[in-house]
Amino acid sequence: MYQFLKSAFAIIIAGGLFASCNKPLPEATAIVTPAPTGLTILETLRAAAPGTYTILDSAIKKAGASTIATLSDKTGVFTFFAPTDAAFQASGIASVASLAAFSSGTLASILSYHIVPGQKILSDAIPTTFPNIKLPSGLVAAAPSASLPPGLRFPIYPSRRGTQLFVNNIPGTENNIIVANGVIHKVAALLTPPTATTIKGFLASDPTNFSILSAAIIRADSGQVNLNRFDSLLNFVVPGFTVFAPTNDAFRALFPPGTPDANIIGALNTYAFFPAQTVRGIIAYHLLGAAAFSVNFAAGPAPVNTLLAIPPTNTVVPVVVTYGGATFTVKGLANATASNVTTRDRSFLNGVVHVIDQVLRPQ
Amino acid sequence: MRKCYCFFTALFTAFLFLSSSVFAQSSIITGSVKNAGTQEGVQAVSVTVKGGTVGTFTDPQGNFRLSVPALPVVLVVSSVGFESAEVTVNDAATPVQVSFVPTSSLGQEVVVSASRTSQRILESPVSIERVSAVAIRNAPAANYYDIVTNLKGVDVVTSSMTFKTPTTRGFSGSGNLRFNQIVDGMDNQAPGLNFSVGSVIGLTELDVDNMELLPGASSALYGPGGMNGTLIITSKDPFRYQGLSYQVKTGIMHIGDKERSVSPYHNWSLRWAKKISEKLAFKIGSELVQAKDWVPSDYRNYKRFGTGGFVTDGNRETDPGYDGVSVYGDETADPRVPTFRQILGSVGAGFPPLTSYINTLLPGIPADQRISRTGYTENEVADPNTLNYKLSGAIHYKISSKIEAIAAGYWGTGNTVYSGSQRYSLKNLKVGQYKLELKGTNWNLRGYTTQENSGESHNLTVATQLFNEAWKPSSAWYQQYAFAFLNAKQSGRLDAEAHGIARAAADVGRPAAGSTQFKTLYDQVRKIPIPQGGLFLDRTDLYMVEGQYNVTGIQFAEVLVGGNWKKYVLNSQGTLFYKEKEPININEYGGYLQLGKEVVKDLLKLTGSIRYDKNENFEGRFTPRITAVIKPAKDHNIRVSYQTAYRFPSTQQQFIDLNVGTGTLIGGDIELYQKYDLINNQGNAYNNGVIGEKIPYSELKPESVVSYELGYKTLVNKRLLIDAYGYYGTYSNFISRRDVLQVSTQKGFSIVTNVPEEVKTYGGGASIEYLLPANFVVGANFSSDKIKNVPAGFRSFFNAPDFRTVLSLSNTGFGKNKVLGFNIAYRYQTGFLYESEFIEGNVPAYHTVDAAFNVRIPKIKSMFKLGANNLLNQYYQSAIGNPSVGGLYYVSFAFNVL
Repeated sequence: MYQFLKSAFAIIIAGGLFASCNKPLPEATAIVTPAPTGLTILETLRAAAPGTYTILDSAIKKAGASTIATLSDKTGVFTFFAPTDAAFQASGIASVASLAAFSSGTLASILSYHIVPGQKILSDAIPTTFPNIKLPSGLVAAAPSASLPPGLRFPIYPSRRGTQLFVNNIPGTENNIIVANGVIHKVAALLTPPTATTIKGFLASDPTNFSILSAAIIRADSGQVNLNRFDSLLNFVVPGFTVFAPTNDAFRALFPPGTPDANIIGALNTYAFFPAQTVRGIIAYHLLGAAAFSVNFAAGPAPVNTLLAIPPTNTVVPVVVTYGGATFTVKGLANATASNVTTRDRSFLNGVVHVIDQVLRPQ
Repeated sequence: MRKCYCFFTALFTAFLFLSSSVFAQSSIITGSVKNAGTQEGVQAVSVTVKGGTVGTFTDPQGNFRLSVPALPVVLVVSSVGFESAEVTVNDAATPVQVSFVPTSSLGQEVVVSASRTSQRILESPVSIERVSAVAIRNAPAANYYDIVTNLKGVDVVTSSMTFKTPTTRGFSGSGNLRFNQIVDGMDNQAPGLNFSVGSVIGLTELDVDNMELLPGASSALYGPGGMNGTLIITSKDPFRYQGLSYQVKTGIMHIGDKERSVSPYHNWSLRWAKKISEKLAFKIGSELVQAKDWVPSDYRNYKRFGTGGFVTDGNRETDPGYDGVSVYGDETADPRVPTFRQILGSVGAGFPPLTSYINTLLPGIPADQRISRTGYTENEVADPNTLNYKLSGAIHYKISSKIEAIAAGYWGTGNTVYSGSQRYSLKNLKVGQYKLELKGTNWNLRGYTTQENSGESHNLTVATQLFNEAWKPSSAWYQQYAFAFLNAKQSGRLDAEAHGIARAAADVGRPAAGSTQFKTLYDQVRKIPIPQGGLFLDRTDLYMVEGQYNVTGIQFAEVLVGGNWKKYVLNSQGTLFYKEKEPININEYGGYLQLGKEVVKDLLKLTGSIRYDKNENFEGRFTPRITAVIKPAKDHNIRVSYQTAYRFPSTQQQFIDLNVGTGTLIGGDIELYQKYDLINNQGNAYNNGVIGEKIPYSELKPESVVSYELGYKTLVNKRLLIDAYGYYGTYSNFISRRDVLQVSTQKGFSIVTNVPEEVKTYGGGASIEYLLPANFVVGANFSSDKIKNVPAGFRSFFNAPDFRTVLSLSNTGFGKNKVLGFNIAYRYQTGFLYESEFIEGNVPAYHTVDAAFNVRIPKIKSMFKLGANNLLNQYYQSAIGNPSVGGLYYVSFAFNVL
């Protein structure tokens, strides 16, 4: 009897001890992203054949710890437009020794402009048609603040025409070298960071060439407020524009020879000659809604839409652009001849300026 | 308290009228009943005149006093646990001395609920389990409600330490609409909140006389609702159980709990009953349970689609859309929560230089990626104190020797947590049940009301979501998140790290759980009524009158008739029910007739019953039951039954209108469809994020089940009790919920529907109890429940393990003077898929051991008990999303409970 009880007891206790097998409540499981394998950007550069990135490697070393850390950071992701030795040479830096002319800070800035952080942008992801995409580079223009919550970086404009990659106005030479922390695209020359000013700032800084254009913009803005003012628009870091900027000479050519600039500006401000609406139309006719470098234009002559839209149907009036290496012209529909781009691809925080020698006329 | 009290007035009138009748008595017999072993007086022993209606009970000292019309008489002295004795009394002058011999017996118990008349448990026509007061005293359970857990075929869902919901034959859940709980004749389902409040306001432990569990369909006798079973709990009669008794139980729990540190458990219970005269007796009971509650700590990631979903990979650090099971405020299932693409898109629109950058980021972001707000765990938001205070009282007055009037009240309040479509903190919930009853020898009539007050109850999910909004509106939070994300990306960070940086930035200043700032703000939000806050203002009431008459004097058969009328008054001030219609009155009535006949004497008894019920919102229903008990030999009983049961959609299934933070629950009432324009602008089925066909409005029908059962019960040699059963049930118009998405408004709804297919369940079980010498009883039971024909994509909420078993060994009295007792029970159940509107997922198999050891001290009528629930402290969950229950170790001292 007690034997039986003992065994019954034993069974229950043994069963109970089984209970030590109760599975504990499973913990939340982390989603594991596999660590990247392979060489980093920096390692890839250094592993390349001698003579490929020799100058770049020295430049990176001289640029200092932060640049080195970025390019070898396996926990991040970057798109790097890598200037080869040939690219340095094309930009006038013949050898490692030539880097002596640059401070390490300058090199760090230049190199950071060659990076699009946070993304691995393959050439396929870059549109082939106008407008270009505008991406923030690694070069910081303004840190995040209340008014600029994500901060402001110097913009960089990758584009593609067919299989040919461009970055700003610089062609790529080899695309899509995938590495552990991103992608490398070789470029044919060093990228020049935009001048740290707006287009308005640029125009104001060069009164010798653009005082009449600046005055015309003021006239065009009369009666307008906020971002309807070109003045504000061209000073606003947010959008990207292309401005075909006629020089003072271009304006002077519209008036009898020898007319003082003051008189020209006076005429622009006189309703009888130039109603504000007309000036506004002319200015709009010199602006494109996105930043376009010379290389982004088709061989042409091809119409390119401007910001001029004529009411009531808001018909957009294009300019006609011709581009082919040394040739780069733009013609207003009412101009007899095309105006030449005398200085091309000036890049600023909010867009690109091409300087032209005629005022474009829509009609 | 409105006109519905009128029926109480009527009852009172009847009471007063009947009390005028007086009964004449002549001789008075006195005597005492003593335990033959210990020589202590035995209380609550029934002393009746053989062949008559006159009877009394012994008092706490074992003495009795009985008036009889004439001498001599034969007194029958009986009590469970003792051998019945008969004493012939010739002379009233000499006190009667009864020496009462304790005995152990099996299968001798009498049950009432199987056919609403008393019968031996062995001869019950349907499956039944009984828990006596002795079993409760001896049970390895900290709370009498827990005892049900170890009965065969029972599943108990533990939503909170003080919120346990038993069920049988599948479909378990916190708020179980297919299982009735009846306490002293009163259905104790909260009429508005739709869960049984048994463990919250039911009887106090010392006042429980017995519990009877009827697994399987039982509408025929107990009305709508008992689709799967009925639990009937009966309190102690103050005429019989007298005197003061109390119990002090103190324990510790949360040992090895990763969420809570070791904390005490208190359970104080008190009962005082007094027989003032042969006609008048009263009782008062009170119980206080206080502890730190068990807390759910399932921090796995839950991929939610409307009210469905599944557990998936990811945690707060690695999934920006993480929605923890036991974490609230981080839900993203509402289709109106913007996707991350939409958020970034709107940032791009406001900040054009980033548009191109954002556009190149988007392909790497899943289209349905949503960012969840940082939530708080249940441990952080729910009141850790679980509290339960019960107060009950009753006055019994014998109008005549045949008619007794009872006025009783049961009131309870507490803090507990309930799992419905979300986790609900039932804070300061108050529920009262009040009853007037007249009982004759063969009839009864009672009226009662349930008065519900949700106190400060609130939805933890919604309250936490609103807390997050109150601290920082999502519009601002998402913008900060997106800016920080973009900034991190522009610094070269990978998405995963950028999400982490973004969350940290958006969460700057987030109130730490437990801080004063947190408490102040959270309290503010939870005290504002829904929909602006999380508070329920439920004040729903139920009124019920029912009566039964056992027709005597009919030769043909035993005839039982009864009827009832029920009225719900839904009133939640728009925080739960359809506001525009409140208060909503729902009337229900029903009647039943039962005929029983012993067709072949001592061989075959047939019982047939039929019931008709009508709810004003639904068509009436007949539910028949036919049972047969076959006795091929003495103590061998085969039971066969055909039963039907049905239930009207619950008050919530009819009229709920509640935003639960992951969508809106609406009832089947057509006006709710009109309110949300779901008739003209129909919602589309929404399964696992896939938008399906349009779902038109269709009228909701009551659900019904037809069940066949075969059982066998035998008592071999008075030592071996075997009970086995098998059943097969078919559910039609099965009521379930489904998710729909109103595409044009992007609003998600959970609507109530009848499943067109028939759902079938089947199962069986068996138990063996063997009485060993010296009072040892060894027992084993096992049971299984299964479902089939569940259409693909349809959730049955069946929630039953394939197999469960309980092995037990107990002794109610051994050692010197038989003062020692113990009970040990081992329970195991297999794992199963638990489905609920809150969380779905697998509940793993678990084992647990409950044990208790007690020492009785007859001299002072006291008992010490040392016990443990979950002795081995192996944490287990009865349902996913519900607390992990660990060991509870207690000692108790009980006075006058022997």
